[in-house]
Amino acid sequence: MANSVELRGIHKTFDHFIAVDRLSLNIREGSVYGLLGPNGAGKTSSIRMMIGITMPDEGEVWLFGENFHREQLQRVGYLPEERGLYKRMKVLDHLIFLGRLHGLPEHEARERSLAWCERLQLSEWTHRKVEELSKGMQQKVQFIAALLHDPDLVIMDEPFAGLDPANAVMLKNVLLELKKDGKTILFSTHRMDQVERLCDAICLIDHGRSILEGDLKKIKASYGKNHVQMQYEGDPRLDGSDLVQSFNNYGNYVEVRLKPGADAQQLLRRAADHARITRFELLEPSLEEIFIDVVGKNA
Amino acid sequence: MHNVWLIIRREYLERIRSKTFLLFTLLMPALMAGSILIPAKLAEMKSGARHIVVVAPNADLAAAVKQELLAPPPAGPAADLPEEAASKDEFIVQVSTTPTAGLRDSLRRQVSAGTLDGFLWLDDADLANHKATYSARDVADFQTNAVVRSAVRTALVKQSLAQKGMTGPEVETLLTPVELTTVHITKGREGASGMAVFLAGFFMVMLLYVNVLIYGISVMRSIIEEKSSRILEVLLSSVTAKELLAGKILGVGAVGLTQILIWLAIGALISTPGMVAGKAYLSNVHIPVSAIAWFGVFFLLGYFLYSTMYAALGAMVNSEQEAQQMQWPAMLPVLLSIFLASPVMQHPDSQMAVWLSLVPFFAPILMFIRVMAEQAPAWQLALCLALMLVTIYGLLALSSRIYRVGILMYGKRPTLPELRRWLKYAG
Repeated sequence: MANSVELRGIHKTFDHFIAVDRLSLNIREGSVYGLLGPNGAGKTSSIRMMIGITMPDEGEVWLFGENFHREQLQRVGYLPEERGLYKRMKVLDHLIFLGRLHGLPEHEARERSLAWCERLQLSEWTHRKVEELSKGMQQKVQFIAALLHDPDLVIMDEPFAGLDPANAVMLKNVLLELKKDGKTILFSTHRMDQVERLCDAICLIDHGRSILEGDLKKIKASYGKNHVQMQYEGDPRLDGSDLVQSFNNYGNYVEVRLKPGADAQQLLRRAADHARITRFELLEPSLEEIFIDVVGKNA
Repeated sequence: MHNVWLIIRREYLERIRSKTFLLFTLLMPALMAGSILIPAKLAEMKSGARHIVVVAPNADLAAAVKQELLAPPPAGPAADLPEEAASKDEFIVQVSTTPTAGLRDSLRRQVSAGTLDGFLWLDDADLANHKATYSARDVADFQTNAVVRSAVRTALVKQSLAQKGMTGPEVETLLTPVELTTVHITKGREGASGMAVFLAGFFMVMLLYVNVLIYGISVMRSIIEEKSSRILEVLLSSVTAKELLAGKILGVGAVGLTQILIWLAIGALISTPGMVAGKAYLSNVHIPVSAIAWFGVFFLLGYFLYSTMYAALGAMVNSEQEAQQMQWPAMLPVLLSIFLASPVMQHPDSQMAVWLSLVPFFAPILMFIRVMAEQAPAWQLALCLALMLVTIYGLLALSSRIYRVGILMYGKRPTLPELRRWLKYAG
């Protein structure tokens, strides 16, 4: 399948600070892509270059199989991390204004705005000023603004940051629906649990560099099932075992990380010699563990 | 272009619909009309006749001073300022020829008790030195002081001329003031009086100054607001920083132009005969259509020049408080041109006026003054406009680079070296 986004070695420096360091990545059409990394890793800078807010010093941005040009932005919906609205504008006027900036004719922008407001329970507020809305409602207006022109590529920078729980669920559902409709979704976050649940592929960046990129399942598989969760009665005697890299013991429950190449079955046999094992499960590493592992190696 | 149009449209409609716009549009003419009409009304409401006592050892002199004080004001030189003639004080004058210390004390008491407005003390020793004393509660009333002074002087002159053998009518003829009529020559035709031109020019210059500043600052404030409300990045996903800046400046400029047009319409209405009491006062202020057209031109050019600077300022700072500390580079040239306005008004064809009015930052005000005085040859106007356009273009290029970087920068405001680097960023 074609790529919705291709970054080819984009590079950006501010003064002497390298914000993005020859970053390359491909985002498949119709996938949900997670841009991961700690704060200040270069996520926002990369996204800004993706949609022409800033230009890379080097490298190329390709959208929908073409070298970046501004007309493509009518197919992109963007929700920035720092987002706001004109406080004194009326909700409907505001949405129409933003929709028209994305190329919608006025009547189309109006109809779609009303439909979205209906869907997100904002219908009673369309003729109120933005400043009269609660923060949660303003967030909904911002989502609508990003999605009004039915973009093929949706880019959201830290979309879940600052959301109330109800809106977070709503956003997740909207994203899943967009995915079902074949839209490509890219979002950045520093929260791994969301990525694990939503994303097909990821790019992990740190200090502006890509340190891990690709299909999430493949990445996890490549790390192998080297984690064990074990429930026991007695003492499984894990201290000093040549099979164990590290473990977290909670008393009658332990999480074990195996040494590379160690055999989980052998661990089970040895533990069973000393304790009564009530549950034994082999697991893939969580993304968080992979992240800490990779960042640790690169540090 | 479509995007720029949408931004202009939003900027224009949101502002025109706001209550602030309505208020300012209506208040400004009211303020202007008030500043003309209220002093005129106040002058009419003067507290009535002033009761004063003239004390002189010489009965003839005292009588002469009394006669001068009661005489009707001379017509002529004050024709340009009708208010002065209309409000000339009337006096009730008593005369005393016994300048004793006791009388002086009693007069003092009467003045402080309010039964008397003042007394004029003329004794021979003082008169020999051309001195006299006028004592009153209200000695800051320069108009009354001037009338009293001129009455004493005229009385003395008449007296001494009479002593030299001149007859009454001869003295009157000699003392009749010369009436100087000022006529403004415009393109060979005789136009309105000098004072009227001065007032009209002053009026329009102030309006120009106020508007250029208000709308320039308005651009800055709305950029700060967009920055702090974080709407900018949402907009930047569909429009470029350049389009945003252009749309904002054009949109706000259109609002300013609309406001001026409304004011002109109100002005035309007010100056319709019989509309307002101050009409007589305004009637000889004839503002030619070309001056109004030039007003529009210099408003727009001045506005573009200053609003681009204010836009860059707005993009650099994070709050209005910060902006206030940074405003002086944009404010200074405007203030300077206001300081320079009066010398240029007096000598609009002097070499200094020519050079200063060609400086693009001063031109909106100084060149406009020279245009009003009809002292700006076509080549100077052409040069001035060309210089302004070039400057605006240069500033726009500079500002849009600062703007483009600045609107994405939050936190600390840039130092000068940082600003220089901003200009070099690729985008």
